Amino acid sequence: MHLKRVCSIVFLQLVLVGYLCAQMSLSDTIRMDEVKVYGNLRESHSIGATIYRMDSVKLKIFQNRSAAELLAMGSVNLKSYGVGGLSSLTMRGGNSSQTIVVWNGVNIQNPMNGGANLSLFPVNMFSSIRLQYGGSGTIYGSGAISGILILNSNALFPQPNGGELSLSYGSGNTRSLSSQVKYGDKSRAISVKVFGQLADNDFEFRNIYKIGSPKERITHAESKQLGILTDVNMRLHEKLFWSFSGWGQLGDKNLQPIMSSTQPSYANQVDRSLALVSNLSLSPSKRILFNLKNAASLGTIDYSDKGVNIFTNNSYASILTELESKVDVLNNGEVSMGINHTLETASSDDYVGSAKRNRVSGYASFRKPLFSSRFLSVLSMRGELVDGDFKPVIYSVGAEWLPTKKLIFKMNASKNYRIPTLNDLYWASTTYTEGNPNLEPESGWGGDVGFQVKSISSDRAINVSNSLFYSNIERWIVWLSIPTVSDSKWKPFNMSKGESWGWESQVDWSLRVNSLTIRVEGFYTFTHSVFSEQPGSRAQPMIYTPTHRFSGSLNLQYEKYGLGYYHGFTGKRYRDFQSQLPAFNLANLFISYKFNLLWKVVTAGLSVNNLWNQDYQLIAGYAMPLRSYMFTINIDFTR
Amino acid sequence: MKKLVKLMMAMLVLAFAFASCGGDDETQYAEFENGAIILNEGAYGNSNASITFIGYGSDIADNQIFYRINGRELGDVLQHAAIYNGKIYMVLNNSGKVEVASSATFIQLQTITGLVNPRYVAAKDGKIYVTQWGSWGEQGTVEVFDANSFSHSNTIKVGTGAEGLLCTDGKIWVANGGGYGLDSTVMVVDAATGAVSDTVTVGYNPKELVEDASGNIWVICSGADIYDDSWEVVGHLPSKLVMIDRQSRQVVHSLIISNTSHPAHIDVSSGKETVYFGGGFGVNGIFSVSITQPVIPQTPVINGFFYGFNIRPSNGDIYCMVAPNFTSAGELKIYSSAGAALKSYSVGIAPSTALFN
Repeated sequence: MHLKRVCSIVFLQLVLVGYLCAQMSLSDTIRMDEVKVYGNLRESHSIGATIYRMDSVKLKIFQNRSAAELLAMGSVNLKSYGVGGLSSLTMRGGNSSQTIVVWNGVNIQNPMNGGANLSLFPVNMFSSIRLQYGGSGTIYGSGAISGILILNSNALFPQPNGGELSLSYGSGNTRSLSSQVKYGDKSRAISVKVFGQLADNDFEFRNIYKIGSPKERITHAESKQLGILTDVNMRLHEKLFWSFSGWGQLGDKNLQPIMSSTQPSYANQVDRSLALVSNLSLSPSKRILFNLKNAASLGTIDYSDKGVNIFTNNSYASILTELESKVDVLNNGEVSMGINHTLETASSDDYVGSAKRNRVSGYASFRKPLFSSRFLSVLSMRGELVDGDFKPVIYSVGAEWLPTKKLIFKMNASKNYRIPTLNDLYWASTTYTEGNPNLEPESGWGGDVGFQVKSISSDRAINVSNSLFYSNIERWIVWLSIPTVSDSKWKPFNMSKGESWGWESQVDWSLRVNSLTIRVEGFYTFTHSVFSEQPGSRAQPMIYTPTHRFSGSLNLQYEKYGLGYYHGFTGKRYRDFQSQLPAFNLANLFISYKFNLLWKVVTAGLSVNNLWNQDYQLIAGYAMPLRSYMFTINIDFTR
Repeated sequence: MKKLVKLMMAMLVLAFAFASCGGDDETQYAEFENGAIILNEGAYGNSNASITFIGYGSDIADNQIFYRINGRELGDVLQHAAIYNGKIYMVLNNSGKVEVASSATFIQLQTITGLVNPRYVAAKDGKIYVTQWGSWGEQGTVEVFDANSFSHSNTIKVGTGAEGLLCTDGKIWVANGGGYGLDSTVMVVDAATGAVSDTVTVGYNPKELVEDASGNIWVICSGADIYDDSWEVVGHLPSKLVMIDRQSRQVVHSLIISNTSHPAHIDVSSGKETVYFGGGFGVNGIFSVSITQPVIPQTPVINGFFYGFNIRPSNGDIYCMVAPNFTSAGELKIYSSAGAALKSYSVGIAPSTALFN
């Protein structure tokens, strides 16, 4: 039954594409949001992978919000402990630590827990947000078993000098400010972005844990955020280019109680993080490029709950040095190689001493077009030494075949692993918890096969892609408390096995007619996933992995007016082996009006969030807001 | 066409009538009498506590009955419950509340709120007694409610980390389990006045109490491990089984169980002449002692790691709850009083207590 439906939808998409392609002929150009990224060599080696790119309109609309809010409307599965709470994403059934988060070419996940709290990632800090699905990101590093979230700054030289200021006020007494300024010439440029937000987050929600599901307001969820990011680009010489990015972020958040609780909450978390990336690029000839990258990702997380007398202070640092090279070889072929050293350290009130880990890895990737570039292939391999222990070599292979200019067949396969987090290894042995220094890395393999149909003409563009995927993860690390053994503390074990397969379909269509621009986007994922907690145990559906997920958007721009409708459907998800969270539809509506004031372009916008006033939870028991509103005014100082 | 419309309308009306009748029958049917009620704690912070019902002699475990009847989840960590006068009072520890439902139909009746870290519940003479730890640094209390109006009538301050309680002979016996720290006392509260009349020193961290056939009170004291600042174990406080003379409030027996094992549960046989203890985090076995010649045995009546156990008063069967972890299905294993395995059932997450309806 499912197969029939899948075939029908694929067929319909093909027919639709054929029809639309036949209509394209006008001369104005619609620019698909291709973002030229500086500072790494990796994008061109992602051949055969399924990639989802957030368009610039979406980034603009969500500029005063967090990446968590943006991704909740996107193509991935987001988990969040309430409004503004700890948020992470999962892809293809994996858990959040199996999706790595890369900023300007550097993994910025916290090495203590392997996570990245996306509610502390303001959207305005990034010029480009992409999602790469599956384990084919060998070139980015190990650990990307399920996928990669890629965040980047843009090269500054092509951008005009100027600035932008955006102010928002909305429900939950949310007050946000974001601004960015860019100044420079063709050899030196600097950009500074700032984000600040104060919010009470006392949104209305429906308490489904109480008799009659009364409407209540979220309590103890106040938050403060401040972030600053600067990019510097310098052309030191005709063949020498230096870029630097520094990003500091502060978050101070009261943690809202679980819906079922009637007790007062005192929990609070303060996150401070600083990420620095320096990249020196030398191009001695057109065929050769060297990159020397130095980076640091530092942070502290202080958690307190006076109600239960828990006060923990945690700090971490990852220091990275990387040398990369790209050499053009064999008639349009390209070899990219690199060697990387990463030092990870952490200290915590919950650790015995401080944790330290040295990782040295080397990678090589060969990309080769064949048959007049109608066939592209890539083979990437990476070897890693962790504290002197060789880890298994990982690899990915990808290929794309372009029988016509508009049709691409894609495939990739990969083998990957993820080493345990520092928490997994170094957590102290207390009454109830204990780390496990004997953990093995998780091991995964998987692949995609699919096709893409794209057509770009002067006034319209369409891009349709479909892919089937399979993913298998062995020795999955899970924290379990096993009261049936004498040592029954919560402890991580290499016990579980996960397997998922499914289908992803993406449609992106845009059209310009005179002053009207229309853009329609849709992404559907079918995921069948199972998880065996212990060897031999009954396979269960993976928790928080919906079988069906859809996200779609419609954007209209007409002269000074803009309208955007974003809709996400998340199907039922298991929250444990026996219970499911209900499906929900989450929709946001944006309207905007652009006008000139004192020679500046001003855009006023209103957004209605959760338009259909749906009850929903991203993590069981944590209330999410009912319908809410936000008013934004944006002033563009760019000449 | 008109005929078709009329026919469809008639069918709709009939369907509605049948549906209405069926609903009434279902809501009034006492489907949860004459069986065991298993409390599944769920995982802390996940609000997935649940109730399983198993009819006596039935091979079927009816899981998640509260959710099925009421369309909502119970809450976070179902620590304990008591059945009294046709109602079941369910203590949700991390939700800070007591859910009240009909013990026959499980239709929800009321939610008692305003509690902080509630632990155990008992009922007697029209009153409900709930122990609670309170917040960090606070003294434990017994909160008293009217069993019918559910109104709060008194707060009785007791020791640190109030846990199990027992209502007998006009007194409320409260085990001060230590909470976030240590305590080693049992307090006796006058039910009429709410005043603490006696404090009895027993072993470290008393958790639960039962009354035997002679009217004496038996207390299971868990003991504890002692850690230094680096989380190294530097000592042990032994677990103990203590018998208190109910009238004189004197400790008659104080039997060391173990330095390293910390059993948390206790119950009595159907005739109340044998005391069973064991179960809890990482404790192997259920043990028994005679109330007349109590000696801690070397071998258990039942081998195995049980998260909790209870004894069915009518026939002495031992209901042992297995929690393989806090994410998978738990298991109920039923043994005869002599320790012979009888039946087993798959139940909810982290089953800890059985009640008998």
